[in-house]
Amino acid sequence: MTGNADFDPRTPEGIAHVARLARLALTADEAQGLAAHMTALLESVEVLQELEPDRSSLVPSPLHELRDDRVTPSLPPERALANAPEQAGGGFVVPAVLSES
Amino acid sequence: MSDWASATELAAQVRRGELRAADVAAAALARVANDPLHAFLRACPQRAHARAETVDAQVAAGEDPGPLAGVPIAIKDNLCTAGVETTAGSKLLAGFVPPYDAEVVRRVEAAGAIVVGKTNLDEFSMGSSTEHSAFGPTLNPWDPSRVPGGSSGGSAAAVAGGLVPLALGSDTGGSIRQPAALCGCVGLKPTYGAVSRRGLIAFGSSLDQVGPFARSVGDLAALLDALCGHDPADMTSEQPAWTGSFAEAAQGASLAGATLGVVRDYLELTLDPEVRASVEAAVSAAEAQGATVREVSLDHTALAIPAYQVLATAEASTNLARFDGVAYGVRAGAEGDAPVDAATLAPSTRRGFGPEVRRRILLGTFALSSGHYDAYYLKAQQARRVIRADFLAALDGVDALIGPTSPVPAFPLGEKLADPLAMYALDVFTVSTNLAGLPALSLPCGFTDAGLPIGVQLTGAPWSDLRLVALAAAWEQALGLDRRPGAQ
Repeated sequence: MTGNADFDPRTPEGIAHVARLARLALTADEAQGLAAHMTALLESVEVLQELEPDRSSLVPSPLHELRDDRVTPSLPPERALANAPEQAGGGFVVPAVLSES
Repeated sequence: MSDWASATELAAQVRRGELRAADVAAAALARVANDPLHAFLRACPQRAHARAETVDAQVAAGEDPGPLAGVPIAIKDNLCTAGVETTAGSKLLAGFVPPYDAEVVRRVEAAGAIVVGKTNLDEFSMGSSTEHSAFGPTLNPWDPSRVPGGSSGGSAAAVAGGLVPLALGSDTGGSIRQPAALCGCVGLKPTYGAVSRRGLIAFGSSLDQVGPFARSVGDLAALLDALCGHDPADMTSEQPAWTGSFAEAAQGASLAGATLGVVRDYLELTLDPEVRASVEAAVSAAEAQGATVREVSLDHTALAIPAYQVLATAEASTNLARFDGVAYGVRAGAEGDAPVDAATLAPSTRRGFGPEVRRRILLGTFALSSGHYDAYYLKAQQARRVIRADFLAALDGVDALIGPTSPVPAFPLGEKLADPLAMYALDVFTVSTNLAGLPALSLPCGFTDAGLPIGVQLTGAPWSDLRLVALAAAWEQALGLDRRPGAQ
């Protein structure tokens, strides 16, 4: 179903698709409840579709100025890693992405 | 147990050596330890004692510890505090100890304030009642069977309940102003960019702004002077375009000659009758002080909540994607569950999100998804532009727009939990100022017959924060309310 733009998030199947995009694990019951919620929510934001703004009102906002590109001290690695669920050799440990098979 | 000393009085006494910061901090920590409102998630006594000792040593050495010398302050638990657990109200972040301080925390301590604890909030600031905290709700100091508002409900209750004179919160769609109104204290969302967001756990980055809570406009002003200013580490932060200090602006201010705009479209919406009457009486009081009141309109008011829902959730879905189980968070599978592999690492960790956060991530992900982006995200961005244009037009020749902060006073715990849309509707008067990037302040203006506080909101043009504080100071004096729970 990935890549399908026609999914409908008001159905449990559509919610399951959005949940996969958002990397959320849902039970079937949760998907059912969330589909009902999404139906009401999408109805409440439907009014946005009626907006046909005058192009001139859509001037882009000015960009914020970037700071000078200067090297400044940053967190020492051991402090940056202090909250890691798992760490080794000065890095974050994650499950293997590629397997031998 | 409550203490009603003002922040400016406390600081003056500490600076003159009449009060020891260590004693002020110890008294505040005792109140936090016996917090009857669950306003606090945790105290930080070690940090507070060490900081108070430094302030006392500075006074003894004849140095000036700063304008907030020895003043206890509470920090919303979505602001990072080095060495002190910071959870954003989420189980997913339980045990997270930030390696650095949020810039606003650094600033208030540099001004002499003493951080005494971290306050409760709706998980990742997503809510209007603090009931979505993973660690249980905060109670309203005026009626413990009612909510304090949210998402910064812990900070509002801590200040209004007399536990601390000052607190920091954050406001993405009303999360400072609505709890200030429901708890009977003063709260300001500054102009977007006036205060650094470095170290604020992000919800909707283009809407989030850190701001102060206080029991009086004078105290609010003193805290704002410490908070505002450019931070090179926050790309959206700017040096404020005003001259002078908030403390000066709050003194000797007058409503005479001010022009206030009453938003017609807001008064046509469903409003609690006591809220309407109180706000109308406050407007009459401002007129009696010499303010001119005129009606203005905001034509696209009906688009505000829909546009906010789409944009805030879209930004949240992106910001919260970083909680994937790699760098922090409780890794599911670590405690005897099935071991996680690469495919399940993120989904299993993200089970730590509560139901409201999951709802919002799903809506945001949908609004940004291929095939739906134009119909939702893009339309909402266009709505944001026309809403801002409405505000700038309405503010032409007007010092501030005025109206209720919240359509209702504090409601019973649990009343709106089953109906998310009813909860979202409470933000009708607050979200548009975040969309437009404007400053807005909530000032207590009266009480319901049952004794619940009511707030009036002042909204100004970009960078008019100083003017809003001056008007609020004069209005506060004209209203002359006693805002201590139980004192009426």
